[in-house]
Amino acid sequence: MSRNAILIDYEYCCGCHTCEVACQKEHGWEPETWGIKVHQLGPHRYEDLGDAVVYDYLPHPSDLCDLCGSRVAKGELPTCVKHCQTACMEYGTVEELAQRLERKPKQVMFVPR
Amino acid sequence: MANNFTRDYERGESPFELQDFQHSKPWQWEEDGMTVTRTTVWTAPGCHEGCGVYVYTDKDGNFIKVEGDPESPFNQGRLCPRCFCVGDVMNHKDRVIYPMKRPREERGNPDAWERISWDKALELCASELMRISNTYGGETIHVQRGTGRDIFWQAGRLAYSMNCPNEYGAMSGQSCYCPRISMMVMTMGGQLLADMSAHLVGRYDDPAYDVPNCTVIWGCDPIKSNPDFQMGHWVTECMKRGTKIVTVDPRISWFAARSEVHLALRPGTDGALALAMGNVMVEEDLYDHEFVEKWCHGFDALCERLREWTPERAAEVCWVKADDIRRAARLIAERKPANCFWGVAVDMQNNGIGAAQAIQTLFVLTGNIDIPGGMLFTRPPFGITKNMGGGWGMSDLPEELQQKRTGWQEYPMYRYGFTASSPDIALRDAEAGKLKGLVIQTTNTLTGMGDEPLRWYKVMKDVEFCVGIDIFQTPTTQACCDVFLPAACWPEKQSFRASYYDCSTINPAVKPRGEVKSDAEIGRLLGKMCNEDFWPWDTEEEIYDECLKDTGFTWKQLRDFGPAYPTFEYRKYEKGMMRPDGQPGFMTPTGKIELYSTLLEGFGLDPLPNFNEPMLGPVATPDLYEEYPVILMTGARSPVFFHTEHRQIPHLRQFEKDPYVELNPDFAADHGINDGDWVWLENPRGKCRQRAKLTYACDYTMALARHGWWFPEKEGTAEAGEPSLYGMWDVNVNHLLLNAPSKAGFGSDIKCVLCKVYKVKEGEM
Repeated sequence: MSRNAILIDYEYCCGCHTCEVACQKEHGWEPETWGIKVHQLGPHRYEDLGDAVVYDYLPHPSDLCDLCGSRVAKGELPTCVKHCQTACMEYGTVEELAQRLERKPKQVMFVPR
Repeated sequence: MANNFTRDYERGESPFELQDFQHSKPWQWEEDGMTVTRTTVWTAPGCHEGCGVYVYTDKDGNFIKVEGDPESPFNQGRLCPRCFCVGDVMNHKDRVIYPMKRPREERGNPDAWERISWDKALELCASELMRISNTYGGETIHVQRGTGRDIFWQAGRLAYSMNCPNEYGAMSGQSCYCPRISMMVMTMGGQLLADMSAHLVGRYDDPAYDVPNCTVIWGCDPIKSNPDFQMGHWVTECMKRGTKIVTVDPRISWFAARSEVHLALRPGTDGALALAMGNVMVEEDLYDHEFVEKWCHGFDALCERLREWTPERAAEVCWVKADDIRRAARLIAERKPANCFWGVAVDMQNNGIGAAQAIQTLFVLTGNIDIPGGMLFTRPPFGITKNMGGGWGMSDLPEELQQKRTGWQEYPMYRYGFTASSPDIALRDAEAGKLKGLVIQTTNTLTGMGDEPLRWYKVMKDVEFCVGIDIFQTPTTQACCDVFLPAACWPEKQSFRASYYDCSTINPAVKPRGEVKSDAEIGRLLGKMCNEDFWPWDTEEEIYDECLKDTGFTWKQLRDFGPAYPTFEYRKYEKGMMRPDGQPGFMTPTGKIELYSTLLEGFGLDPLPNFNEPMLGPVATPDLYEEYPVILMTGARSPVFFHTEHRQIPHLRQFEKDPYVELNPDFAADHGINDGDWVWLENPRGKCRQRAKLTYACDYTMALARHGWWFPEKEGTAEAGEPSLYGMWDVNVNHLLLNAPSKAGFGSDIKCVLCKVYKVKEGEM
């Protein structure tokens, strides 16, 4: 059986904190307990990029992430994927998502378990 | 578009047709032993938006969770972090859930409150407020209310039923959207919003829609602030479909980093920048000749003004590159349709109306008006205006009383379709002893809107009677109120939302805590005791039925139906839909879009887009700039707080524990400031302290402070004879601002002042 994964298009993650809080609330976790945590890079101007600014966010599922097994069993999406404001997250099998990964840069696939 | 509904529903006569959309779910159903209620979000707690959600409850009506409604065209299932915490807000231990009363001499004492019955509370409020109205005149009562939410018409109508013409948000120059709206209404006879397809049920893929080729993000950070009832993720959806972004913002925002051009202008110079962009459009012949000739008035006069503003001149004023101004202007002109997501940074300057006029002119010159993907003339869905703004019932007051509205005498623009009072004149009157009674309708004036909060505090705390309506005690209610009336949160109440695009009901999902009531019900009960003529309804549902009349739905029918979207027309000005006489054109004195405003001319104001320097700044006050060398912007939005709210919610507070000021890391290094240090922000008007957050988002010359901070976990107890009000005074950046609007009464320097920044010493806190 194929593993499941989350594909994140970090060109569009805007750092809004929705996935982090949705996850905590879904699992009943206290503040500062992260099933998924958003990291920030920049803003910083890079000479080597012609003075372009790098300013990215990236949600990172932790070992607590169970890919919302109980939601998925009922035919629902993981709560982070469903509620993401910029819809930059996708859920699926590694196989499906790997094909999507091929099509566009600035994406990353997480396979938490 | 044909109406082809799959489910039965009831709808009576209505002049409006519906788009082809009906929600597949009933308003309530059972699922896995839980009750699920389909509803709409709209305060309390604070939110401008109208996201569709499902609220899950147990058999006793207790809140379990909230899920985004994937069928809602508005949010398409997406939610922001605040929505997930609505249960924490409702069930918070500090929430006030019964009417409370406190002796007048105990104002500021959090331990002096006593529970009373609704009957006694309402009777006390009505008798005190009507005594004041009858003794001193209704105008000596001020109804302060917060920003546009489901509390707006309630505040206004309550005021009118006390013969009081004064309802306002206490922010100098009404510097939140009002400068932009007033300018659009006066020069175009309508209100423009960026077309992000929100009025179309098929959204981005609707056949009627064109995705913008260029979106200008001007003075806002859309995902964090969701300005003007528009969602920021609508912009990212368009970006995915090819929209190029131009950002005008002193900061490097997330959008700025994804822009074709980022104009990182000096705060408060938006007018100069837009004039120069207009200059490029005219000098390089990039404007839409046909549109300008056919639909605009005053092009020659505008050109004369624009000629003064070469990109080189503006570059010097705005601290940007002239070539970047040219590139941005060309992008807007050449990438049609283009639109503009603009924010309160435009309003929050003394030159607010001049800047607004200059920016809107760019989209007029390029013919981007009311076309798919351009700047749309919005209109209330189904013509529902009663719940928009606070003016429902103002015209029923005697003329003489209407003219006692603060600002009516002083500012001619306030007489032109505007019903809110001038907060600046209200403060002046209050200081002259003309404020006797106060209603605080879900606004935390001393912490949030009120510039120079000590001035507001002095006049508000000594009124003869003060009642507050809210969900928590705030620094403001704690300081001023004698009676507190507890409001319901959105999952607990019955209401409706009609705003720009669609109309939907807010459905009771959760058993209300204690004795809380909706803002409308509080208004109805209290208003009825003051003047029954304004409140002839026996239930709040009757009010909603009245408001919804033109939709053809009763409140209950609309609840069953779900969000209703009326059909929408582009190019309304060609079809006679912008004027009551049915003629093509615009609802202005000349019938055209007035690039040169005949109304402004009549009011003795500059009829053309213009630029004035901020009152404090490197150019206007070079001497002060030497001593206060940092340009201070205030009011940066947070994605987890709504203005002064949500600080008591741990799952939101985890992201921002203290108020912080963004500083450039190089500036900080030069001033011995480390990340996380408490620093003073100080100018000749006052000072406050916030924590330094070092980021290259902020330029070396600037600082970006937070607003609306207090610490609900701290005591509201007395300190040196005055209540400390939850530690609010020390961190309140509004001490550095002034109640000093422009000559028009609109716009005030809130995001463009000066300060110096230095470390807080040990023992100073």
